[in-house]
Amino acid sequence: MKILMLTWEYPPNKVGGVAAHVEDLSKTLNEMGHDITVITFGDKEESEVRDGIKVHRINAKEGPDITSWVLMSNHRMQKKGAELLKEEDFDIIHAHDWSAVTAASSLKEIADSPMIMTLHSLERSRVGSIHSEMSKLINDLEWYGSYEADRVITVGEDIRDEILHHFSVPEEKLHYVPNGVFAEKFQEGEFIRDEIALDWEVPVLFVGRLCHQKGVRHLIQSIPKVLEKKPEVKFIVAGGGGGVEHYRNMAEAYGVGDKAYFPGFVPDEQLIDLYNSVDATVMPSVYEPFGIVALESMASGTPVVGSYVGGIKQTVVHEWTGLHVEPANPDSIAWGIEKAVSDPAWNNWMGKNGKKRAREKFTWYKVANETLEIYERALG
Amino acid sequence: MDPGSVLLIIQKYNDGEKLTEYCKRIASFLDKKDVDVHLVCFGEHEREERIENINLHEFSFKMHGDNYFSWSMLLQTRFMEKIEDIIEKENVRLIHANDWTAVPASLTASKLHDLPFILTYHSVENERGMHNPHSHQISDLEWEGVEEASYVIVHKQKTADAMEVYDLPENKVKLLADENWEEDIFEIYKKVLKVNENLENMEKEALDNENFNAYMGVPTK
Repeated sequence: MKILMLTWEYPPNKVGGVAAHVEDLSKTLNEMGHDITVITFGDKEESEVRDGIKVHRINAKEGPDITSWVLMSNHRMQKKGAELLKEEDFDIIHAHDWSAVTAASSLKEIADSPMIMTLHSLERSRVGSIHSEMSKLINDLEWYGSYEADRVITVGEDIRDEILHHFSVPEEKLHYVPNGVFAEKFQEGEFIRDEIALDWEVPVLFVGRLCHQKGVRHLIQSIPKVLEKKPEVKFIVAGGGGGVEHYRNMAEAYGVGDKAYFPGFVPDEQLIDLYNSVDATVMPSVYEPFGIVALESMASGTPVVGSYVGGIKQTVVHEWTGLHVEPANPDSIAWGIEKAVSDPAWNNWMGKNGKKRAREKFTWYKVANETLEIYERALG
Repeated sequence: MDPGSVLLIIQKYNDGEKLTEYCKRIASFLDKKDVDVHLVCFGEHEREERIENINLHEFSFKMHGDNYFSWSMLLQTRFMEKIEDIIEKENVRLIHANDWTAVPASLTASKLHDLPFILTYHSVENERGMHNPHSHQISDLEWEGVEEASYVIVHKQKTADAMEVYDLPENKVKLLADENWEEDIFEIYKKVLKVNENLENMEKEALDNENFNAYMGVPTK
């Protein structure tokens, strides 16, 4: 099958989780014998073959707001797509998120091929409500994409329900396909505990963009409560975004600055080592459509303490591969962390269960096979 | 021989408005030459109608952008859809877009179908003062259109002067300031189609030679 993927981010350009998702799905489909072409944004117009995937990068002038930049980028994506369509056909046009909707719906008409839309998250949940003209436009584009698409894929059951409720998409058109993980990659990590903690300390990891959605504030508020009972716990708060300084200051203000280490953005190779060297990974998210961190941590054999929201409800099994805690509740988060690190044997057992679950239930082959079934259905 | 059709693209068709009257004058002139004119534009309702020598294809669109620029860009999906429909049914020989709001879809369609692309700028952002928050993006689109068009028609010296920053090849910008500019536009159409026809013939000839050589066993590149 020949598939054209449209995504605003693709490695090496990574901002959120969409880039990694599209790359891993494309690589797996490619290994299964399918022909994948990606059109994405880049610093300049260029084309390359990356791990067997044909990647075309377009460029667009930045504007005063993200929406105008996205719409301009979509025009360039559409133009590039039309150029490709003169030379070859595509069986499927697969768009990822609102930022590829207008290009995908035009290319679907030109190519006369089905359009698949993966919604990785929704504006109304990302920002809490539709409170500005910009949010309204993004929300409208999410609706428009789900309307134009022949099939809609969501990475979480919660988003599927939200789409059903807010966009009135027919149920038979909606498919829940969770993300996957290349589990083997996460078993190759080195044990670097002596680099991140003192002998007597027990390291706990947070990974993600340092923003409201990820619940960093609630994590920091929970730290003094954890330390009251377990003073040996040390927090590694890894991730970029504009919030690093803000949250570092917040930790200082709470008097736990020496127990919370902010290394900033951590590249994949080092992240694998971190997962392998901590006692637990904490995901205090208030909104988490899927939460790939849970799978990565489980694949590394590290239990997850995660909010009972979005994808974490499906990936983490309470008291089996980790612990569910209440979102936005520092007491509950503190309880989960303390419980996860208190009994090393139980911690180890949960780690093993998580590893098994990640390897069996969340492989990219499974994701690719389910996606292919959806393509087949769209092709009729 | 079917002289074919010209596809005019404008953002909105409103009687009395400058762009609409401009298109009507072109259509009226082309009608005398037996050239059919199709016009695609946005409107309040879906409408397919023949009015004053124009086959009007009006589409509606219910989404609102967060500003004029984004709304204009959102319209391009419907523009593209309509243009594709017309190209599929009619013998469209060239696309003539008006102003930046018609550039993205027209440009993609011309590339996709190898149709000559003519552009009229009634004014450009540079000339308007670059006061809009999206001026740089608009200007970028205008430049993209200029780069890809066979000819850019302007009707004011001021617009032609404002386009000097683009450092274009000589003769690409046509300043049509006299009274009978419809005739000049028709001449531009003919010139572009002639070039296109010659190119097609050259390609066909090259292909025939290649086939002949291959048939005769002569090595080809």
